[in-house]
Amino acid sequence: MLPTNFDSLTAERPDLAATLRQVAGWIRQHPDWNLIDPRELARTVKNVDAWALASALHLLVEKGLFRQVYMVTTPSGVLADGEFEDPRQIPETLPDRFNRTFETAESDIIAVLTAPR
Amino acid sequence: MKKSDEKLLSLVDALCTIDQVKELLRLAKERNPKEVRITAKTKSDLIQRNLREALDSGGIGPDKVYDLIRESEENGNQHIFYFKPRLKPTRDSMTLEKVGEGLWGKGWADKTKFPTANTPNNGYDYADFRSPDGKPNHWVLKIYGQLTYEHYTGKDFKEEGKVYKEFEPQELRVVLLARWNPPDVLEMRVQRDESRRRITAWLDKLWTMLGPAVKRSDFDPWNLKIARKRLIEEEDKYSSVYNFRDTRLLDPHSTRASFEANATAGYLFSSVEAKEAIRGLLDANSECTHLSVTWAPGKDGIPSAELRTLLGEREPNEIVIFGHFKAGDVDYVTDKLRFFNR
Repeated sequence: MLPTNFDSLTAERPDLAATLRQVAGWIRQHPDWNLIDPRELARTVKNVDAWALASALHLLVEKGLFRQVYMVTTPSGVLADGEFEDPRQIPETLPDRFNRTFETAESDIIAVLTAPR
Repeated sequence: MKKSDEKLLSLVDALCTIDQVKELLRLAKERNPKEVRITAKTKSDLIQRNLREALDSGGIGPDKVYDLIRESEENGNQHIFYFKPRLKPTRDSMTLEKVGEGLWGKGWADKTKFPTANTPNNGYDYADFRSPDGKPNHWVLKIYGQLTYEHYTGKDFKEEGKVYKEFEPQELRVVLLARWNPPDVLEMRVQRDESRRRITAWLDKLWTMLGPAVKRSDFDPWNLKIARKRLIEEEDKYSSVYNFRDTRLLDPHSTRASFEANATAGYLFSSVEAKEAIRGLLDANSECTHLSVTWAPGKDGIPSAELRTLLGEREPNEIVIFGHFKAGDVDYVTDKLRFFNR
């Protein structure tokens, strides 16, 4: 499971403590996720200010608790397999969940947070 | 260093992971502590310096490096098409000796110089034919190919009202494999590729090159639809063995339904609603045409790592294995399919 102990961060940034607790709660409720998809997080976490959520995610990356990588959505809207350190590394085509090749230029690139190396 | 050893090193670089190369060096170091070093800053140093030195000094024999390449290129990152012999005489004729004789004539073992790391300049050639270690009734036939194809660069040029698309030639190394898995399964393995046309052509090529000894008309595709259905139905019972992420179902009126877990490492049945919908469709005589199954690492080391497969890509007898694995890992999947397809 992804890290959920953000105590040191909440002490450092009390203004983001509530948001960080919500992020930790979301991770605990999604034990089968090996990444944070900000779209999914924003959709399911209630009553969170968009700026605070973005700041909290930025802080998690800045402090090394998470790593930001890029993924591509398949034509059906889920994330395709394959994480990329830089959007420029994304190949022209990728396989979808059923191994059908699609053109990545036609798809969305999503910045997601994953566990550090 | 011989030219063939240079070829070996480039194949190791392309096909093997750092951990696999280190493991090979580690085993060699136990026997030859002075001639083998392991530590390296980069993969290139590990292969071009450490492995090269070990080969040059005799600390590692080329046969061990062949074994490593075999393990990687033969097992995984492939489409596997399963077939079963129609009649018992065909099954009985699937021995190493008979198939070897059918392909190269009497005394084939002396005539052929297997294994080889040489890839033909343009075309396909036999690269290996053997029984895997400890499995005298099994055999593996390997074919290497080299293909040049035209790749669209994405650049267009306009001239006098016409649009010209730019293509550049690209070379592709091809590994094809036929694997007899007794008592009755023939696996035709071709590497993954973005072009379905190439995959189909490679499967045809494999049958053609196996043709002098093994006829396609003597085999039926082994439809895995029962296995796909049972894997879904009995998931509760075998949850420590596998789980699945995505599936496609086809109902009796040809309506298709796809279910894809949101997370890439997700588990489809963690959603109760999805579980009920899928089971409802199966109860209403729908067929599972696609199922992405992740096999858990075994307590006995088989599978050696989490192994992701897609059962039923375009053909009902087809699976896709994502990532390179050990021979025993892929055999594990075939054995499980045998179990669940009854």
